[in-house]
Amino acid sequence: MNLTRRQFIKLITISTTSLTAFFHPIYSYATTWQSRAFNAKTLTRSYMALFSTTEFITTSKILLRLPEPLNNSSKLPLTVKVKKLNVESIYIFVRDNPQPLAAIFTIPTKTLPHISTQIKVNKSTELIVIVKSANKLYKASRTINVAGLNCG
Amino acid sequence: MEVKAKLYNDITTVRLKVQHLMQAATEVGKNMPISTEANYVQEINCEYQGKKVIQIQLGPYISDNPFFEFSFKGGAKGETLKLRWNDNLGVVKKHEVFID
Repeated sequence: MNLTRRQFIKLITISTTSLTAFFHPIYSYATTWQSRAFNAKTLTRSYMALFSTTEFITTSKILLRLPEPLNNSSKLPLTVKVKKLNVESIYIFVRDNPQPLAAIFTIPTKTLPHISTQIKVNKSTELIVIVKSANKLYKASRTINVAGLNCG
Repeated sequence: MEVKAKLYNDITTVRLKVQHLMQAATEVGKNMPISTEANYVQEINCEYQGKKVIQIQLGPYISDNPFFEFSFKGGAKGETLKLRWNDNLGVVKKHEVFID
């Protein structure tokens, strides 16, 4: 196949642009960060993006530890401990935050299902923790009362 | 990033803190004179001897200078723990710490 210089340049530009356009989305979705679930504005949408269901088994095997009373709603310490379950991942949601999903912890078998962190809570709301264990979803929730404290 | 790893009774407990703003995107509104762009840590990974110990994915509603505590079975004094975090603007930082 004989190409003129002009044809060659045209071929090169078309192929490189199409290749970059084709590979760019693959590259950007290669990270594991769950963008759809994190950017969801409502709890249901976030649930659907992660689990494609909104039904969970309510359990007392998930222990939530929160300070009483709460004195700083932008740094709410939270401890989650799971008993007697083979935990794969732990999801933390705050119902009335602009983006309800706060964090996902992926836990291999050697790591203990016992984690602590600090979350931001905008107003009195419900804290929901979902635990994935052997393809089942367990749920525990707690109401958070921050009325009158958010004056910072 | 500040990390402390302590071995006790064959369980290594890791406490870590990332210096980061953790800013959520906000629009101009009643109590918001200016809009802010989102700037937050998205992922924290911790590895021990080539195996993942924990993977944390974060949204912008984790407190500023995010703090985490977790523990895993095993670990040995003097061994290194490899940590890595990245934020939504593409900043990547790596850190290594010895188990105490």
